[in-house]
This record gives sequence, C-alpha cells and structure tokens, in this order.
Amino acid sequence: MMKMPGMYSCHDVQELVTCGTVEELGAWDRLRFRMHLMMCHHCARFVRQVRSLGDAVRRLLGAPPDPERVQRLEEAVMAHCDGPDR
Amino acid sequence: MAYSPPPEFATPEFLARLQRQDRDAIQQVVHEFLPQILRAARGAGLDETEADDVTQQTFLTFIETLPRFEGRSQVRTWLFGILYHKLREARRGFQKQDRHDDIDDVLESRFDDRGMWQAPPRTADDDVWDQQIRRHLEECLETVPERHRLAFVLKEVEGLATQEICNALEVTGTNLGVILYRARNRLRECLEDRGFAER
Ligand SMILES: [Zn+2]
Repeated sequence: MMKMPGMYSCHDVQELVTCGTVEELGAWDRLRFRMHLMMCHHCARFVRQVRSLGDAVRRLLGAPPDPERVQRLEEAVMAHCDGPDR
Repeated sequence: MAYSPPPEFATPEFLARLQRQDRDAIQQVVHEFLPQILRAARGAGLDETEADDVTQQTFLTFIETLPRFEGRSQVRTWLFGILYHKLREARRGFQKQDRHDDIDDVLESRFDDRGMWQAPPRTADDDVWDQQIRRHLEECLETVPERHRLAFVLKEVEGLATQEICNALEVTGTNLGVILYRARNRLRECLEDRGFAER
C-alpha cells in the first residue's frame, strides 16, 4: 500500500500492534489506524493474528484462581499484618 | 476486558491510610489484587506452590514498604513491580538479559524501505487455529523466556497499560515493544512448528 501523508505505513501499524499501544491511541490516530486496516489486508491479517494469539492466551490463563486458595492466601497475608511484631 | 481498579485507591486519603499501614486499607488492596498477582505468577510459569509463595512474599513486602510508597505509580503497578522483584529472586530466568535491540531492527526484516510488507503473513484455516491450540499453546509458552513471558502475560491477560508494565519491569517503552515482539514471535514460531500456520 502506498504511503500517503498523514497515513500510517505498514511499519507504523506493526509497531503500534507489537508494542501494544493501539489501545492507547487517541481518537484521530485510532481512525488513521482503522483506515489503514481497511485498505491493507496484510496488516489486517497481522492484527487478527496478534489478537487471536492474545485471545487464546487469555482463554488459557485468564480464568480467576480458585477462590478457596485466594482466601487462604489473603488470610495468611492479613495474619502477618496482625502479627505480634506490628 | 478493560479492568480498572476501584477509583478510591487513587485518592490522597487512601494513600495516607496505606502509608500508615491502616489494616482496612491494606485488606482492601489485598482483596482486590491478590487474585491478579497470583494469576500472573502462575501465568509467568511458576507452579502452584511457587506461585502461592511468591504471591505471599509480594504482599508481605508490599505491606512492609508501604511507608515509602509515594503514590507516584498506581498501587497495582507498585505491586506488579514487587512481584517482578520476587520472581527475579526466585528464578534466574526473570533477570534482565535483553540486548538493546532497536524496535526498528526487529521489525525491519518484514518490511521494505517504504515501510511496506516484504513477506506478508501466510493464511490458514480459521477453525484449526482455535480448536486445538490450547495444549500446544501451553507447551509453547514454556519456551518463551520467563521475563518475556511475564511481560506478555501482564499485557494480554492482566490488561496492564504499556506504561504500567514499563514501570513494573523497569524497561523503556521501546524495550517493552521488543520484548513483546519476541514473545509473540517465539509463540508464533513454536505454534507454526506444530502445524498451526498463521491465518
Ligand atoms: Zn499495511
């Protein structure tokens, strides 16, 4: 895709996606980002890949930990807080 | 997916309570963030016992150092920073050993000099990618260097902002970009080796 003034290049897009800063773009830059994806299927696919990898990792590791285990650890930490040395 | 901590955590009143190690304030923080710290420790590759231990150590250090907490970073960032230090103590793999690569050098190979794709990502079937990926992903995560894996998990699973991860792991934004790039690339290569082509 041709690089035009004010538009993101493929390199810009990959850097934004790779560094994970897309979510932090302002409204205007977000629009520029979307425009690039609409016109460039390579980048659109790259973004899909990165997102599907993220989704897969979230499904694998994103479940909340066992509540009993969490409670046991919370109590252990707070017990230290109430300890005789405090 | 965008998680935001309770807004009162950012107030000067709450900060003051934390600094004087107010029990209720501490309990609120522990209750809010312990599951995240525990999950991140597991996600970074620790087994259950190690993760329990590191999580406890993280909060004990948090409580001890509260008088020095100035509120310049969010409570959560401070906690993840402590977690990172504990992980470094527990495992050599979490220590800094990044070469100072420039993000442009890392990205360059995929683009020509006008910033266009040189070797576009390949395509494959969507369904295969999603259905069987789980087990392979788990094994492939094991091959990602621990520190890179932690950064990747903080980004993708815990949803930390880039700046929070930079603060917690004591890296620049550029370095983090390189780290995340390497983690994703390692995963992608590993999955490709196992027959999961990119889609
Ligand atoms: Zn492009």
